[in-house]
Amino acid sequence: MVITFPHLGSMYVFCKAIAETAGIPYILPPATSDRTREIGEFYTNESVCLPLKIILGNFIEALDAGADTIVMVGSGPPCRLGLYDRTIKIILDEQGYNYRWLTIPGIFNFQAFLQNHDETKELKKELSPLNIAKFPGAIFMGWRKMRWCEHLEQSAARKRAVAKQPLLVDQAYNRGMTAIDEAKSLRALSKNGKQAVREIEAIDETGIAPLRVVMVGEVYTVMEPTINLNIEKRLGYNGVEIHRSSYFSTHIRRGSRLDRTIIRQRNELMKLADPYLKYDVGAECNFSVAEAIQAAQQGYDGVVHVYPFSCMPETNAATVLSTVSTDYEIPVLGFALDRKDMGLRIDTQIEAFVDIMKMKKNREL
Amino acid sequence: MRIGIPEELMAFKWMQWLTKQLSVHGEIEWVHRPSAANNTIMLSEGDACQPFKSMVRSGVALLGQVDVLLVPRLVKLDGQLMCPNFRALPDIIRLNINKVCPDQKNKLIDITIETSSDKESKALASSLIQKFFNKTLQPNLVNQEPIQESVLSSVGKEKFSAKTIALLGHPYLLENSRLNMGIIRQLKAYGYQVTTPKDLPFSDLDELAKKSDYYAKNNYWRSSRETLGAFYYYTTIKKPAGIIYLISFNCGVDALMRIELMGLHKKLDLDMPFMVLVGDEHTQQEHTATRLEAYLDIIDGI
Repeated sequence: MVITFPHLGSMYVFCKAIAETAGIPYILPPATSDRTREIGEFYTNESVCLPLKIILGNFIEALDAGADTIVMVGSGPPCRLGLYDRTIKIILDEQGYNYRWLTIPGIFNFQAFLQNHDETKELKKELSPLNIAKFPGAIFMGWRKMRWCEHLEQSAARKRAVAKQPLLVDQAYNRGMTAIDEAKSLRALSKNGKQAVREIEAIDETGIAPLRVVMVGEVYTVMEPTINLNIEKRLGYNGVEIHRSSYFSTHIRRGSRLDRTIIRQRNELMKLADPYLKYDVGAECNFSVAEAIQAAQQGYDGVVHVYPFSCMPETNAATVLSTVSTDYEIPVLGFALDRKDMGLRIDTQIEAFVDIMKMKKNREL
Repeated sequence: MRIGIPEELMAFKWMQWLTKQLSVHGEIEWVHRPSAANNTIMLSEGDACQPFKSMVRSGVALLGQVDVLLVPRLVKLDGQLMCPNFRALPDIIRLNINKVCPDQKNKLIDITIETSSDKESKALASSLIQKFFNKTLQPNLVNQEPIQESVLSSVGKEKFSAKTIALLGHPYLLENSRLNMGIIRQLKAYGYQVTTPKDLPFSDLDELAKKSDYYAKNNYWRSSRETLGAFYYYTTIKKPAGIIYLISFNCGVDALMRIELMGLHKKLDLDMPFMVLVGDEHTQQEHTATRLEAYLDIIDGI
C-alpha cells in the first residue's frame, strides 16, 4: 500500500504525519501547479468547480508517481464535494488507473462509517498489527502538527501586514512549516513550533497599523493557497492582515459534532445571516454572509470573498454580499476563481480594494 | 386573485399539481410570463446558470402584474434534494425587489417545499389554501394525478419510431424553447420526433438510477437521478435513435452528471450516439445547428 492525499492547506501535514508515525508508505502529490490544473481541466469540463479539477490533478500526478491508495475527505449534500469521489472514480477508471480509495468522513454519521468500514476491510489486511497499534498516536501527532501549522499561518498573516520586509515573513514561515513537518516527536514538534513562531514575531515592523480583513468563502478555495493564488500573501504585502475561521481542524471539529462551541457559533452565524438568507443554502453560503456581517459589526476594514467559478452556494453568497456591502458600508471584494486566473488580475483588484479601504478609513478619521 | 410564478418553475409536475389544487379552491389567474422585459438594473447574478437568472428576472418583472408573487423554495421533491440555487431563489428575488421596487416587497410569498410523500404535499397545499382563501383543503376536490404505470417491465414491448431522439435535462430546459436553444423545433424541422422523460414516473427513474449508487454514495440530487434514470431507460428499455443531453452553462449539478453519463456511455459500449449540448444566453442558433447537423449525420449513418 502506498497512500496519497490531496493538497488542502496544511491537511497534507496532518496526513503525512499519520502515515509516517504509523509506518505507512505514502507519496505526496507534487505541489499544485499549472500542470495539475491542466490535467484536472482536461478530464472534466468548464462547469466543474476548481477544487475538483485540482484534486483530480493531484491524484493523477500521485498515481503516476507510484501511489495506489487514495485518501480523500468525504462530505455530503448539497455541496458537490459529496460527489467528488464518485466523479473522480469514474474518470480514473476510464483512464485505466488501478487504485483503492479511503474516505476520511467529513460528516460523522452512520453512512460515513459504513463506507469507511467497507473501504478499510481490504486495506487493513496490508497493515501490520504494529501499524494499527500506532494509529491513535499517529492521529494525535498529525492533529498536533496541523494545529501548529495553523498557528504559524495565523502568525504569518499578522506579521506580513506590518513587516518592514514581508518576504522575510514568508521565508520564516516556510522554514517553520518544514521544521514542523520534520519533527519526529511531540517534544520536537513543540520546540520547532515555538521557535518558528518566535522567529516570525522577531521580524521588524513598520509601525503602521494594518488594515484588517476577513476572508470568507468556499472551504477549499479559502484554505488552499494554490487555488486562491496566494491571496493571503498578496493582501499581506499590501499591508492587510487577514483573518479567517476556515481551517482544516475547524472543519473536522464541526463534522465530528463533538465540539459544542463550534456548533453554537455556527447556529449564531446562521441567525446573523437570516435577514438575507432564510434557509441554509448549503456549504458555506450562509456563513460567508454571516461572517461578513460580523466583520462589519466588529470594525473590520473589508471582506474578501473567494470561491470557485460555478460554485452554486457561493454564487448566491456573492449576490447577497453585494447587498451586505451596501447595508453595512463595508467593502467586499469577490473573486470567482478558475484555472485561467492570473496573478496580475488579482494584484490589480487587490490594489484598488486596499485603496478603497484606506480612503474609507481616512474619511472616518 | 392574480398569482405569479416564474414559468420555469411550472415545468415541475409538483408545481403543476399545486396550482391545480389552489385553482379548485378559489378564483385565481395564474401569470407565469412577464408582459414586458424588465430592464431595471438589479443585483449582480454572478455566475448563476441561465435558468436561475431567468427565474430571478421573471420574478421581479412579474410583480407589477400580480397581487401575489409565489416563489417556492424547492428544497426536496419526491424525497430527493433539489439544486441549492432553489434554496436561495426567494431570498435573491427578495433582495432584488428591495433594491428596485421596495414598495412591492410584501407581494412576495415564499414557501419551503420539502416533500417526500403525498401526505406532505397535501399538508403543504392545505396550508397555502388556508393562507390564500381561508378555506380547508377539500379532499373530494383534490385533483388526483392519474397513477402512472411503471415502465420498468416494458423492455422490448414498445418501440420508438426509427427517427426519434431522446432529450435529457432539467424539466425547465426541456419545456422552454428559449432555454433549450430551440432544439426541439430544429429537430422536428429535420424530420425527427422528440421524446423526453417528462411522462416517465420519477419513481421508476429513481429505481433505475440506483444501478449506479453504491451503498453510501448515492447521487443526492433529484434532477441527476431523473437524468441518470432516463439514460438507463433509453439505453436498456425503450431505445431511441440517439440521446442528446441539454445542459445550461455553469449548471453545477449537470457538470458532474455529464461526466458520469459520458463515462457510462463508454463503459456500456453503446452504439447509440450520445451528445452533450451546452447553452446559455450567449448561445447563437448556428452553434446549435452545427452540432445538431453533425450529430444527425452520425444518426443517419453518413
